[in-house]
Amino acid sequence: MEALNSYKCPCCGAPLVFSGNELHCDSCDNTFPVETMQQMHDGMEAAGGESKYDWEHYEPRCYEDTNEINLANYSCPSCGAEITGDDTLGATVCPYCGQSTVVKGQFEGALRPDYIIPFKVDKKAAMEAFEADFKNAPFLPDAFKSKKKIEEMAGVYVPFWMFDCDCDAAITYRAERVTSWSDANYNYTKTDFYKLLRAGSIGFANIPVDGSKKADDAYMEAVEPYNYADAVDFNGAYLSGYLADKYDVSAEESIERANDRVKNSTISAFNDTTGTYMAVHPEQTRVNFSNGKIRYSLLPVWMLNIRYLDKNYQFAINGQTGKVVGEYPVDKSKKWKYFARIAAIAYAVAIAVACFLL
Amino acid sequence: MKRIVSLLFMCMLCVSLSVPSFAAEFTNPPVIDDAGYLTGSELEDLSAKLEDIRQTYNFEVAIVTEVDMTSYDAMSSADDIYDYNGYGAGANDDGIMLYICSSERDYWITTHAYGEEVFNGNGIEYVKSEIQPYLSSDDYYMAMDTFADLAEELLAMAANGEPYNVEQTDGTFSIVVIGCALILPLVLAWIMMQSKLSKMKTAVANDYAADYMKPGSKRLTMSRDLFLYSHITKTEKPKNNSGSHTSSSGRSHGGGGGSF
Repeated sequence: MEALNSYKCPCCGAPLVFSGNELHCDSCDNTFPVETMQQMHDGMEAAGGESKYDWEHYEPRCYEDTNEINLANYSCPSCGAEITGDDTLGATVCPYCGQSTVVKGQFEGALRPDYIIPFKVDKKAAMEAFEADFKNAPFLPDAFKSKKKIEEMAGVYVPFWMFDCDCDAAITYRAERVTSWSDANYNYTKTDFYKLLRAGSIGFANIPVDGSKKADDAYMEAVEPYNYADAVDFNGAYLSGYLADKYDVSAEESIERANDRVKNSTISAFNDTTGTYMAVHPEQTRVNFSNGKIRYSLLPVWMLNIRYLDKNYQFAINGQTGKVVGEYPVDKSKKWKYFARIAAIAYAVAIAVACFLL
Repeated sequence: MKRIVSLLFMCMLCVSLSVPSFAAEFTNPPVIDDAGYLTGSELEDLSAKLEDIRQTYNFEVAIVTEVDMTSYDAMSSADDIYDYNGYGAGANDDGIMLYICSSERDYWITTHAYGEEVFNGNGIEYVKSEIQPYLSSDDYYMAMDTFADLAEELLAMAANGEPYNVEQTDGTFSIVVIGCALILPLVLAWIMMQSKLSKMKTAVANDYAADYMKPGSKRLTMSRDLFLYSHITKTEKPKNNSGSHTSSSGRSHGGGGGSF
């Protein structure tokens, strides 16, 4: 018999020995078909190694001044955020800090995105969406519902980097299938262990990554998704009456977040192909990116800051779909009253059950 | 002659009517001590006590001891003695019998019909735990006397509509129930409150990009499931706590026993 160092027992890790037409483990006494071990070896080799990411470098496009619209940049005197709007914008509220600000006409450059998704949800509809949302928020303080505050909502075109890519993935899983049966004296449980090999490709288009440091990434990801069928080539006219922010997170800085989201979704998509096993654990994953493209877009968001008890609460409403995200203040009195009410009902039931049992 | 026959018939009728109608009749004496564990006075006292219980509850309560087993083990011996010697009360032969074999130092408590309800699995364990120490110390009279007392106690509980159940007296069970009743409502209320609180913060990062997957772009180029090995575990089935089984006569018996 000859020891094959390249094949190790998937059960205990000991070297397998070729015996007859099979590979045998002297340590745990399992036997494995040669073909199975060869396929497992090939699959694990394909899924091993480092993942590769191939994004083309983003080259900003150059545009001639068409004089189609005059853009104005200014810095918020309260928080320093750089906000861009058309020159008709005289006064506004900073969407990041809620400070009322007057534009003084200081020009500091222009931004020219590749695409823009125009606002489809107007301010009235956005306010209605927000009111409907906070009506469903439990534990909300009554004073927070002041309509005057809600009217200070501002429409902002937030800069996003849009990522397109195709992915080739190779993933190995360890899976278990459990069967049980009984005879007169014993219960039996049989666990079959499998190695699952999966490989394939998948494509993604227009994955947005927040290009603004001032906009909270969690808010911008929570307010997704956007429908890119409505995206159009950028035209400054769309900014009229709204705020716009120039990107201050580069495309290169955003790649890491795009990679994470693509990789997670690719693995999740292939997890769906693992069938009806009792337990499936990913072991090795390699995701290679190709045809990576990056574009710069402005996406519409209604921003709302509400100050309550010396704390600022921010909300974002998708300017295309009306989806509302944010963090509401919690009325501790309402919270603990709810807790007490549920506990009282549960105690009544528990006492009845205890009396029945004792 | 007819007069004499009529007179005799009337006398017999009067005698039969004068006997209390509720007095149950039992085929066997309440105690048969072939192993010779008891003194004469002990046998007399114990028999009187068991007879009293029998009459009060119209329920067979008997004790049988022997030197060598009737059958191949204590359970079969007790069942066979009960089934083939006319033990039992009423139409269903309700009853309980304590069987002790002196040569093998084994004992068995067999129950039948209504006896299986009154002396359920928990009840049998209770009786066993009380008499076993006396048997182990060869204090047979105390073991039998305790058996008689416990039989009466459990019969009284059943007569009040609440047959003995370990949950009624087990301190551990009571503590678990009370502990759960105190803690679970708080846990439930906490979980429901946290569930509601999660609606107060919806600005949560999205680590996935499934919304941006190109329709129809997913292609699986390799899909293999390789079987590696199996592992089998076996666990013994829990034994029937009630001790319910079928005797050689085909009748159902409950009970329990052991060695001393």
